[in-house]
Amino acid sequence: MDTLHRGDPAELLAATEGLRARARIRLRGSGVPLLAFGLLALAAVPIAREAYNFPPDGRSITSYPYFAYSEHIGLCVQHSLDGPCLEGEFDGAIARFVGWGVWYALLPLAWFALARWYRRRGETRGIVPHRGAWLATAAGAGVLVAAVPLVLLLFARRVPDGLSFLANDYASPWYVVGIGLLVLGLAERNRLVAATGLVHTALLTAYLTGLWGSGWLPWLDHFDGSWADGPRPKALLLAVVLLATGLTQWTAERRASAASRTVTP
Amino acid sequence: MSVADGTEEQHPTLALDDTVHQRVRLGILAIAREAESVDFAFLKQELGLTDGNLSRHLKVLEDSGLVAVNKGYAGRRPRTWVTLTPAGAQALDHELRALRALVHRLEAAAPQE
Repeated sequence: MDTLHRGDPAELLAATEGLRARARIRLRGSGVPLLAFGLLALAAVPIAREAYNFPPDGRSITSYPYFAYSEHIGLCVQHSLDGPCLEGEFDGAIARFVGWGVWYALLPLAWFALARWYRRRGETRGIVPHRGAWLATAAGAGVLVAAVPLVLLLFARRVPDGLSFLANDYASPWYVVGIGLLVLGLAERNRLVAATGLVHTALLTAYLTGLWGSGWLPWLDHFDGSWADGPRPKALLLAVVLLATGLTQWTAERRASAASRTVTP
Repeated sequence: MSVADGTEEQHPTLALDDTVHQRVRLGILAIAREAESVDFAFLKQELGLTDGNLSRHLKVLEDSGLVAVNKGYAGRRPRTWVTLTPAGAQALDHELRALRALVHRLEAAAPQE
């Protein structure tokens, strides 16, 4: 071993930490997926009303499979105690059920496509990132969001309203993305991405747990003579969060990558 | 070294591992620690080494069980991927702890200016 004097171990330690930091910078790639999910959220804004699913009479649908079944058997199944079913109330329920299923599958699939993109990008650059933590967490979130309401639907006598929304809401599959981004940010030691995931998840939770018509958001939608929380502005807010941080992150990654290429090891 | 309480503290230099402590090998392990796998060309560029030099150091690390080296192809281009083994991760963490302890000790022992 070389003779050590005061500067050697400190210098070696600093050089090692510097190499690790540069490798982490080269691995960061969340800007593009943030932008992609932001654009997906923006594209989904027009369907947010359908996904929140206010039927023509203004009553919310508590179960897409239930409504689809009602249309399928041609029966008007009373779903509300305070009024009769309307003619054509279940029209289009099967199409909505299919749309709901596709929407539920789309975001987890997009997340796995992101993991694949990360790997290909890493192979091209010569450094492949660890993906296990954020892939497993997002998969776990997806399974929970889908399985908990399903189990309750099958085995519980009465499904609590909050969990019913979890099963039927436009916001629910976004948990896969929100929680996934949080873990991805932690894995990349990227505060911006982790904070975005946290804000995203908090927004979704607020959407799902907020009292109906409480108007906790400054903008409201006028519907059927009464005021209710607007699904489209809420969906737009999710998109804005992702697009704004995606653009910031993408710019930061480009700058950092350019800077790291000019530094002599 | 204090023996007042009957326990003798080991000098941090004794905890340094010659295989890991070598500057280039420490650099290889440090980069590989951050990723699932690292390409030979990436390591060569980051560490500023020649093919032969990097190969020699990788051989030492592979023989010690600290990294796994896998050769493959991307299209027609041969690629060599280096992956840190659990033993390699443990060895790197141990080395960095020893280095930090050594730096701490040297700073504590330095004369006050």
